[in-house]
Amino acid sequence: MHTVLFVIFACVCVAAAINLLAQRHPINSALSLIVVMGSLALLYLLLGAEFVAAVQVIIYAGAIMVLFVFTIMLLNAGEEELTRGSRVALTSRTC
Amino acid sequence: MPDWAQFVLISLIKSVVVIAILLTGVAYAVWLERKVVGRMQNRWGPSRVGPFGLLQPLADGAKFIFKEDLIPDNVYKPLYIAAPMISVALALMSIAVVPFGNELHFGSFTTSAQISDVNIALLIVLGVTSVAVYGIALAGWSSNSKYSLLGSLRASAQMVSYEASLGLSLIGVLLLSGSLSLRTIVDMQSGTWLGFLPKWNIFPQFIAFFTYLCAAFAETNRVPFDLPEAETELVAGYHTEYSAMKFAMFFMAEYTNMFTVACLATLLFFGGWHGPLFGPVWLHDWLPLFWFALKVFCFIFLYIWIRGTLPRFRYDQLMAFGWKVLLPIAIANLVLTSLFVALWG
Repeated sequence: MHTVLFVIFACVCVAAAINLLAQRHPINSALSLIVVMGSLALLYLLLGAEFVAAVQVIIYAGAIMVLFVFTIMLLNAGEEELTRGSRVALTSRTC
Repeated sequence: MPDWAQFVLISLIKSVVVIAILLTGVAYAVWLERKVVGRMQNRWGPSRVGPFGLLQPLADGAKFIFKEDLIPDNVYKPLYIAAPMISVALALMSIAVVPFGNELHFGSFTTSAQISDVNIALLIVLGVTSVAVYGIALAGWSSNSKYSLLGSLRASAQMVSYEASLGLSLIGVLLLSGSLSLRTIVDMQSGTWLGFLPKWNIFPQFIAFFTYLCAAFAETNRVPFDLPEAETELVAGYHTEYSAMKFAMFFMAEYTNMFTVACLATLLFFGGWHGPLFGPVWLHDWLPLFWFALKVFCFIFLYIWIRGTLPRFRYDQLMAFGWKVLLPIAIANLVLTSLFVALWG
């Protein structure tokens, strides 16, 4: 049971992290980061560290990421332009 | 049946029952609000559908479902659609850790009146409240409209500011009971002082209760802190561009949050399900549920009462009140309680 849950949330975590790099709109990246934080919290929960899990959600997802999203909303940041450096985004666009 | 399957089945049944009751409660809270505010303003409120307008929630629900679901052209679609879902899902989530009563007996089968009894329940509720900002923030941003954006910016700033006081006001109760489990906190409040005064946390922690109440009103965006949806200046705030079921979801989220906050206040300050037990033995399982519901109802009524009484704050007043009045009071209460616990506890 634990292994199954671990695999599920670990996959969600990694997928969200890759999505964070691949997305071109900052708000999508910020939201992916929230998903990463959330699944990390669930992984802590699986390890039996309940307090750390709750604090992870309250501080990272609840406070720090709110500031990120808030800033993106205030600046009204648009889609970023691709440079040659952004490899993940390029590959995700081509395939 | 293996253990885990039984666990999943029981949790599923409990969740369905709790959500059904909660959503019915939400529908009738809306009815109650319209009725009570109506009477306070010397009019009747809903009175056409059914006796006393009791079927009004059904009519409203049907209207919301059959209305055309408008999506404006320039919205950012994925988030525009996801935002109400996030709101309502997060609002429903925190009810999972709320205990409604003691153990319930069905013949030989015994189960606790709570979906899941976790020992960090209070932290989970705080975590869910702190994440709940996203529904509103994303709704305002993705609508691509001035009013929505202003409303959601106000909402996020307000919720982030008042969360600090909310968290700090709860710590006083935590210090007294020494546990994060809501069931333990309630059990600590059983019994009486001097034979007649119930041992509720409200009496030693009345300052914390005041700060909690103010912060909770701000967190749920209710009058007098309903600036995010101030009709007179922002049309409707963050849900200006929403219609039909999506709007109804925001509405549901707001009222569900009211219920969560009322449940939490009941559990932390008013002794939860404790109340006089009488009558035959089978009644002793169900009376606690009744007392709990009664206390929650009083809070919902208080919400409505205040809505019918107080005007709205100005935005700078709101921020000044949050940071310069509420937060210092909460911290002072925390210091006092810690001193008390350290010296006499």
